[in-house]
Amino acid sequence: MDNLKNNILNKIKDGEIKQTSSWYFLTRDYFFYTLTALSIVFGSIAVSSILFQSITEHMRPLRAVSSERELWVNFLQTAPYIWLIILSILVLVAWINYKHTKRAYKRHNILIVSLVLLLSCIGGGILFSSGRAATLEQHMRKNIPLYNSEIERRQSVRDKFIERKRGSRVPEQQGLRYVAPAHRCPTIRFACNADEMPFHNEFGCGCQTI
Amino acid sequence: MSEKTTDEQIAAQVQVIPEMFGFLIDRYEEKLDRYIQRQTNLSQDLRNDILQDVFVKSYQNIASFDPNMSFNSWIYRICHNTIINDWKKNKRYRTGISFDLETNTFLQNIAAEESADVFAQGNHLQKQIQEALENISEKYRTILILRYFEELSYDEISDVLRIPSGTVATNLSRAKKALEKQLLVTQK
Repeated sequence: MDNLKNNILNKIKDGEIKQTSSWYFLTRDYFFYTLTALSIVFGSIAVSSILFQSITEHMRPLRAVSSERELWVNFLQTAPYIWLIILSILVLVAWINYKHTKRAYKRHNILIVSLVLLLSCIGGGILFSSGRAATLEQHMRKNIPLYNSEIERRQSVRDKFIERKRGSRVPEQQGLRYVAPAHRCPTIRFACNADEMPFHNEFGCGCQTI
Repeated sequence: MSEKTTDEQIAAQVQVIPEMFGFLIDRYEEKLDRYIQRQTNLSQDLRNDILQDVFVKSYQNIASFDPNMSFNSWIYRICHNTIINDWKKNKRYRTGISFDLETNTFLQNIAAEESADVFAQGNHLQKQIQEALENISEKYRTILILRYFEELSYDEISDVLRIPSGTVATNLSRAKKALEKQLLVTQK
């Protein structure tokens, strides 16, 4: 046994084995904490986009023309699944990174995942309620071409639904005559009759009897 | 270096005075050698190889030791990982379990926590216990060894196996049940 001790101490003396710097461990720990935090930040952005697209762009306009059941059916058809997938990936990434930190094993996996999800939801809720979600959405739509086409596809599903519903409900609304759904309004030109004036609202645009 | 100096204090000093590592070797070589023997039943030469590896890794990574943790569990963690790596690297399989004459202590330790008669009887032969331990799963055997042979606390086992303390308690309870079942089988 003494041989073992002497052998190791000799190796230490000769510099054959060296201590790894504490900076290395510190940097590694902070690296994983940073990646975890970043995943939560991006998770918050994902949640804010989900809230903005689901509540502001879908639920609010749809609520006016559909029953509670129809609202949920439509929500399932037009839910931002890409963001839900991205959010799941980010939660997974946060969990993996956090697991690499020093004391992570003390916590149950389910607790870590729930906490990451909760923090993302809180962050996303703050972004949404402060109005930053709309700015972020605009920014993404302007700069990510594929993202924009996906939004348009979902909006057209929503508008078609509203148009279908409008057939029975809109004529009853103070003589409104819709010409186009909301997302097409900025790109079309139309003329109203002499006894009408143009209007536009969250469902679309058209002519209103004076 | 007095007897009262804690392992954690020595570990902190090793980072400045490397030669102090010798004191940690003195304190742990027998303890870890016994643990390796219990886990692997390898010959003294092969155990020395593993032990050397454990101390080299401990020295290299001493800066990663968290003073809020117990040094005992930290070095056991390294030892546990080194044993597993040795199994994988050398494609060595457990050649059986080696338990010294401390099997009575082992049973007494369990009986102190467990009311099952089978542990309190105390008339089990070493061979019976060995056989029962060999027949339970690796996960349960390790936790029983750490708790009742090495006498580590739940928190220390949690640090060694890197699982939450609650899971340690659950696994330990299941391990005792599995062992009890095996002991009853071997008695028949």
